[in-house]
Amino acid sequence: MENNRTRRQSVMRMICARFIRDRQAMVGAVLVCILVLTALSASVIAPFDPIFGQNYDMVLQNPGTGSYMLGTDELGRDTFSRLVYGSRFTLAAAVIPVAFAMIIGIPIGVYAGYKGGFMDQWVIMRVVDAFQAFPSLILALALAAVLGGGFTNAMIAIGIGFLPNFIRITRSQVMSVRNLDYIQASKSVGCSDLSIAVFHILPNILPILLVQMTLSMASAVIAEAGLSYMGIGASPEQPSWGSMLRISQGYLSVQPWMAVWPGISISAIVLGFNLFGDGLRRAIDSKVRH
Amino acid sequence: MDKPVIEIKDLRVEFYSEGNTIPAIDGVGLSVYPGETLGLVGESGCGKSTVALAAMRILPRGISRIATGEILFDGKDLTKLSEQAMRDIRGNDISMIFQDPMTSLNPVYTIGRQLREGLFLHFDYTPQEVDEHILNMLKLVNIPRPDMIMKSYPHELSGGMQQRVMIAMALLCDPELLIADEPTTALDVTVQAQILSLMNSIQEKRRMGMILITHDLGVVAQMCQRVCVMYAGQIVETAPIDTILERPLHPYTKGLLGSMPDNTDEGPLKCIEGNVPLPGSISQGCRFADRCADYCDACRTQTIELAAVGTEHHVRCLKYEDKGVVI
Amino acid sequence: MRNLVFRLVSAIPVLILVSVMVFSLLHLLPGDPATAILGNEASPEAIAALNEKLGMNKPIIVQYGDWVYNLFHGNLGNSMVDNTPVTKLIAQRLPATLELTVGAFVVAIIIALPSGILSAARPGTWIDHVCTFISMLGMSIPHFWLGMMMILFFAVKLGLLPASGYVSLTQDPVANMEAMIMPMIATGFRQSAVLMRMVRSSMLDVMNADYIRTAVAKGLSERAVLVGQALRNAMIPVVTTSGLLIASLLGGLVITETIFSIPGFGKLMIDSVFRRDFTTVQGSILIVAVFVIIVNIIVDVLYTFIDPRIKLDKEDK
Repeated sequence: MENNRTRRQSVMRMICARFIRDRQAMVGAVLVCILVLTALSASVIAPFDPIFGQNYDMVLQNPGTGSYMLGTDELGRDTFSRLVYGSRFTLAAAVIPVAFAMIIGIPIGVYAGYKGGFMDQWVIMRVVDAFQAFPSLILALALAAVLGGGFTNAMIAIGIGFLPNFIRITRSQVMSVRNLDYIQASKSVGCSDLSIAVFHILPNILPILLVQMTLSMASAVIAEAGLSYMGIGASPEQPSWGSMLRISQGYLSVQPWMAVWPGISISAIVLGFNLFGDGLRRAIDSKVRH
Repeated sequence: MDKPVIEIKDLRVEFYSEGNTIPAIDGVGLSVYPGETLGLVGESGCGKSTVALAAMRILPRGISRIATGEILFDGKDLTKLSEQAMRDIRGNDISMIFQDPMTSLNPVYTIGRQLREGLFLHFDYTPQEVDEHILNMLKLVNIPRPDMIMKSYPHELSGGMQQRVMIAMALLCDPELLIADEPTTALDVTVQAQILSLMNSIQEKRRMGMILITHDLGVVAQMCQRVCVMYAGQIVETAPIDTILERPLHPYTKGLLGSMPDNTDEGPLKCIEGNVPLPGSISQGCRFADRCADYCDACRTQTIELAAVGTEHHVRCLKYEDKGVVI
Repeated sequence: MRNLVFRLVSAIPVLILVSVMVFSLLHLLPGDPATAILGNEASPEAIAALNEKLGMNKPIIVQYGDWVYNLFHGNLGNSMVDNTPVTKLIAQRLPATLELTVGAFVVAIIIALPSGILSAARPGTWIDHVCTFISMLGMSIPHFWLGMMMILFFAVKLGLLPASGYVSLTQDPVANMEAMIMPMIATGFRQSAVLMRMVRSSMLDVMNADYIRTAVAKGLSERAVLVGQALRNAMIPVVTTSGLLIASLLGGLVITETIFSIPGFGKLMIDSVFRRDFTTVQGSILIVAVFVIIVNIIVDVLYTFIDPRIKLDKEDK
């Protein structure tokens, strides 16, 4: 037990060291940090009120007019402030659905991968297949039709969309690990299945799950933006970047900048998560290759 | 005396990654004469495969390169040839067969297609001539029902058949030199014998030079006229087969021969103490010094060259350096 | 053969599950469907009447049975808006979506295949970095925003292409292409990102194989090795994941059709959601799910044809 832990610690250290050396990965990490910091300090950073800061004299201004750094929208609200507050929605969209999918999906995946058998093959995996038959956006659409729109429902819908993936990946990782020698050794000593799952299997599959987590966060941000864009997610006054895009489409010929900034922000943050996840995957892979 | 088919002089191959450069083989020299089989012997990791890949100039790109040395073939130095010119030589004048025939054949194409490829590439035959050549070659390597084999896929053949196909593929263009890298290691013992005798007979007929790379001294004894022993990237002894077997001089060669199980031996198997050094870890002196029963201090510090100690017998060892002539 | 049979059999419970899921969609609505459709202000009699008409008063199993029975007779119910059969609605919209799907897929392949192969042939060089970065962008840029930017640039600013408006292919191919090219590129670019990474990693795996070494030792040129020997092997995992790609493509098309106002299947779905036309939503989702399942089965079968090692009903010599 002690040996395993020290080995894991040095492996973790090696992965971290590799990650830090990877320039692209660090760019991703920085972008993600920017998102978190912006979201947390939105009230401090934003100069104007994002929802009620209307100014009908300064409607649809170009970037740089007065103190409106990125211009204003159709109600005279400062685009920059809305963007800053919108980062909260983005952060929530990244974290909540993925947390939901992981908390529910990983235990199911571990069970399916470890126990196998009828329950796994014919029940769990078939349910997973059924869920995966619906493209995630369409799943969200259907749930929106039923539960109504709104940001929270969008989060649930996106989370449900990620469930099959986490179950699948966890399951296949567990299956590749469960026959390793020291797992057998633990079993033969009499460790319960639960303790084996928690103390031996999970730590080994954790790196890959972390990679999947970051990549899912990237998908979640885009999914939420898409749903808000279509009007099923956040409502228009809420400055979610996706709903900002929705509004901006009507004013595309009049004030195109309204459409540019939210899109760039979404792209940047998603890029950040993707670079982060990719860098993580590379850092782990190199360990395997040794 | 005939001119050698191929002559390698002072070859050094380096592997590099993340700023480190490691010499895989160093100062390697050998020559092969027409109709002769040269054995290249040594443990895994001693660099014998690297010599072969270097000769064909198919070292893994981007992580390795030929640092210095000459490879003289057909009046040209292969290290200086353009890639285009090398391609004309590969598979045509010099051929190579590898250890695992199952993975060395492309699984998604038929045997026939893979065999035809080489001929179409190097010669201007009509399709009928190509097929005729191939069928003849398949018969030569004792493959039954060659017409059916042509239409089969690699996974449908047994290991022995696959290796025969590889041999056929290598010989199709009538090369002057065949490099065989552990050709029988992946095969059953009974099949091994068949393949080896096949290679023998073909070589005799065509006066082809052959480099046989192996770690199996039994195979060497059966097939080779001369032997090069490699250790940690260097050649430590070269001699005719009888000399190597009866009068080995280098401590490593002696150790190798001594570790071969013998029916008459009693007691535990003899082995050479210690481990092979990591490439690049020993830059000075004899690389075998740590494991040698006979070493002296000078062994670790002096650069030791291959010295001639008899007719066609060269050794890289301080003990014999003064007795012989340094090359 | 055995593999194929197993595949088909295991699809049955999935189809059943899918049908149950889609069926229960209507019944997940808070309250009863009639109120959801008519609204809270409608009179209780109207609500009761509609509920009766919708068969809500029968036991749920019977409702499910009726619904499945109708399915097998090609009846997906009628639109709650204008009472046209859902099947007819879908059939009308299908051509546009099909064209978009094929077009986007073609765009994805045109981008992904060369860049993936090139990156694998020259790993670590600037070509590799550029191609990988472009694929990163493809994965990160929301395709609907890309579509908006394309409209902004090509339609609004340059006036080269129409911002919206669809003309069917049979009617006027040129006008059709003008309208469809931007949505195809916007959707296809995103799909190409994932595809390119697959191609690249698959090629890299293959390039390390022994048989590639054999091919090089035979004297084949790099191009002959890449395209002739490696590609065929590398395509195998790419084909098998194309099934997943199609599913993702369909999801993306919903938004794309909305931006570009293309009267396709995706737009039908979103419009129905907003118009609370639940039967159409239900029918559409079912079609999509069944389509995805069928595509995945086809891809699995295709796999057995591409890889000669998987011919299970052929005797070993």
